[in-house]
Amino acid sequence: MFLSKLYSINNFKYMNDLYYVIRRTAVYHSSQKNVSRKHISSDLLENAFDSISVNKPTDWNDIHDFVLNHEENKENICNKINIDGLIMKWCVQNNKTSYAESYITYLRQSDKEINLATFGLYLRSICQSNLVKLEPEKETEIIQMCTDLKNGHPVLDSITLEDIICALSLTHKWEDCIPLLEEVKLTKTISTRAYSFVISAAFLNNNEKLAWALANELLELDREPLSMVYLSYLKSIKKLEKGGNIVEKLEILFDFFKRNGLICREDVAKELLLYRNTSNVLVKFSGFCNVCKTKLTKMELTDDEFSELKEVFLKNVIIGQDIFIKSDPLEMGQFKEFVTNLGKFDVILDGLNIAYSVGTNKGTQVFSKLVASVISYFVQQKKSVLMLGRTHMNKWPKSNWNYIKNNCTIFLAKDISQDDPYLLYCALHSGPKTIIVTRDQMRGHRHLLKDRKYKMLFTKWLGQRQYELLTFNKNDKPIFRIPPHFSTIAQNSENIWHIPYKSQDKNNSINDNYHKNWVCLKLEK
Amino acid sequence: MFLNRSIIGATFLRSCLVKNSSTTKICNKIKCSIESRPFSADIPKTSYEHTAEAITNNENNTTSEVSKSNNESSKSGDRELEHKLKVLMLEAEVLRQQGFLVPDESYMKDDMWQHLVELPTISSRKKYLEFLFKLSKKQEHRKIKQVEKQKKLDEFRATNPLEGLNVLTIEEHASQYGLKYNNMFLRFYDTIINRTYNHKLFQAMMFGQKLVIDCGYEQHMTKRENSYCAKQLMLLFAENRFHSDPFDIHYTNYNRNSDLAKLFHKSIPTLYNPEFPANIHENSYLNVFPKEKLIYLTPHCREEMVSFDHEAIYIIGGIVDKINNEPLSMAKAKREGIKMLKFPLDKYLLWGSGSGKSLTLNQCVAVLLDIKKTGDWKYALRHVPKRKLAEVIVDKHVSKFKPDFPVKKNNTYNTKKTWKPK
Repeated sequence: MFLSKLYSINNFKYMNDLYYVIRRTAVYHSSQKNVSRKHISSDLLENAFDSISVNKPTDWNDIHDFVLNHEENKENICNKINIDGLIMKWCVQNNKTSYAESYITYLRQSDKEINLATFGLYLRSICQSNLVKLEPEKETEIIQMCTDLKNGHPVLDSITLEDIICALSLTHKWEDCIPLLEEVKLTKTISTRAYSFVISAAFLNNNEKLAWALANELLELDREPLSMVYLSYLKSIKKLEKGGNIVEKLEILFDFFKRNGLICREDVAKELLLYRNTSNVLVKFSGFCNVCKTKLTKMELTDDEFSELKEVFLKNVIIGQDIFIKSDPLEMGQFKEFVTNLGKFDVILDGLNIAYSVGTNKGTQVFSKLVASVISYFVQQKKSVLMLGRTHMNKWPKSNWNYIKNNCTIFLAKDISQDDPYLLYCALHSGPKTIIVTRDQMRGHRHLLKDRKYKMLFTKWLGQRQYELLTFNKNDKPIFRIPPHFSTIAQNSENIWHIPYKSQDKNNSINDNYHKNWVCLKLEK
Repeated sequence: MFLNRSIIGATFLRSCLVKNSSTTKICNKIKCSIESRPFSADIPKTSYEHTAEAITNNENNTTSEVSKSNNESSKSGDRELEHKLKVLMLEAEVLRQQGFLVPDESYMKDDMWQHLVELPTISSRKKYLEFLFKLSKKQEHRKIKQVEKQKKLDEFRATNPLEGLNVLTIEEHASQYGLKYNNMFLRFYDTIINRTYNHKLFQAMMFGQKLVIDCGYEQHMTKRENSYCAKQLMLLFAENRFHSDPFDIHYTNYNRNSDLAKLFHKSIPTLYNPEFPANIHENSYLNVFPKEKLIYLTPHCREEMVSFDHEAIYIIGGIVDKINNEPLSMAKAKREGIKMLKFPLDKYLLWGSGSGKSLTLNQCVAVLLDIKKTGDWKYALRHVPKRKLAEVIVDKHVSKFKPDFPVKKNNTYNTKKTWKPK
């Protein structure tokens, strides 16, 4: 009696210990100190400008004292070497051009040696405020400063050089930038900002050939030009005589958008809307434009592009540098054999992606049921289905697994191989009409294609073929996010152009995740 | 157990022998250098000062030689490189002036510049400079602290001349305690400790289980990763040596001209001596051991290790993958058709969020050593750092829960006994 009681109580004690709650903590301490070090200078300057108002040049001395002798500046992060640069940087970041000007005059008056960083940042602040129109006195100042900098230093670093390039490109001596670009290339890839400044300078000065060449160079680096490039192109068009010429020039720009799959920003769209016969359109899911009463088209890949993409995909993504990383030659051989005997399928399923869409801890019963119901949905529509998965799916509960086996074709990769490259390849092989069901955006595989052209083709293709499983309704029928009936690329039917643009306000709900904001232009010759 | 005691004794005695604080610093230096040179047969056994001088001179020589050669390769050579270096020096200066975290000019050494020249992008250079800045600050703080401590002690001695003499560092106290600088304990030299450890390794070479470290991933790692890897190899060697039942470690695919090997050699200078207890093979493990006995330990495979196989030869991939996390070791094992296994990390541990499940090389070896000795995974996996694991706490609400039957207060199983006056 006693023993049993004791036992139960002991048991209880033991049980009590078992009631552990797991608390997950993230590790911060190592990064925290570093973050504070990085932000201390901007915080201190913020405080300084709040408490001290700068009217006279001597006020800058107060700001120096405030920042340098502040108790938070214990580690001497802000010191005499970098205080000028920090103040200038603050002015650039907060767009305070008047402060920047007054500070540089203060420095000149106080006979202090002005360092390179301060000059560079001052140039940057001038660029910022005088983007649209440069006053003649500023122009002479810029040219004077840039020549001084170049003459004063036998070599210049890439950061200062880029600032000089941006500033010079605003002046009439913009052509001096081009040799400087080569100099930057020596130590770093040229930033998008510097490229954009030079390109827009070339447009404004009617050197279109150079501009387009540089723009293509920028695209090859897998970067997109800034809005200022398009704006200055449009500005250069306006200078031309009115008439047919403008239409041609606009078409060149739109063709550039179309070829490179670029989507411009809202400021460019606003500029476009100033033209005749243009309107801002919200396109519906069907792709119907309610202004010109035409339908946006789906840009299909041509057969050549398709087979090219397929080849590159096999070479770069599946095989890559070492076939053993994602698969092995034996499996690859099996797969190739499997693919050659493969007919065309309407639907290709990413089995494990569907299974794990509810979370990975639900158990095989749930997983298999999910996949089976997705398959039954497509089988009811009399579509042929191929499913890719891994071999461990063989251990799923027999009732559901047999249903899956009987109703679709299956390829199972090894447990330690990656299955989604195979999925994509099957889909590419099966032809341009096949649908892929997966929630994976495949960004990693897209990245491995390397070439911008193939990346674009890949997104274009996947964007039109991918069904994403969202949920199931009450009758266990799957609900998908279906791709829209048009592609988000600048397009034309004869002389009517539709240009997509990025809108600032984003109130797209999840269910209609397609591009809505377009500009509709009717070009009349 | 006996050995452990003897180590403590030895370090204690060594500190007893040191007479004043200036020599303690040198002694520390020797200690470091000796610990990094496990087999120090070449160090003469005369006096500590003598060896200290020898070592510091030696170090100076080697570092100056290195810097000279770096000088030659980075500053001379072709003109293009020189130009690039100049541009980068200016770049660092501008970054400093802009308020980025860049160390002082005086802190930058030649090998650091060399590394900067090799880095391709400006963001990678910024990161490296920031890393150097943090390092420089750390050293600065340490120096300041040391000076402050010394200052305080000096001040105290100056103000209280009588008591001041009695304030001694632990080394000074130990040397004066007892029979006027005499001691009843036998003195253990470092060489003796070294020999005992190496003896264990020689034993293992004859009778112990083999363990392979595959050093063939040098070109897949960045320079920083290579240096971390070299450090881990050094720690791994030490960890293995300290253990009561060490492995016989074989370094395979070892290329003596690689960065990794050079750095490893720098941390263990006697590594290539013929009497040094390490097996270095330039060719693959496949040429050295029978294939069917080999098991590659890789985290990317699916099969977990259930129990330790005392007959097998385990392979650990000598790779630090901070940036590139492709399953390289798995690919290699697959290509060569070697059996793969991984540690049962998920079976025995609850992982926290944040840092991944990667282990360093020395941790892996420590786990293997313990699992070999005890066969208890829970014990062996104590080497996994605590910060990676989920924090386990007892919920307060649950502990307040009371049983629904009455429990007598003075139970026999109540361990807390409170004494009350009668």
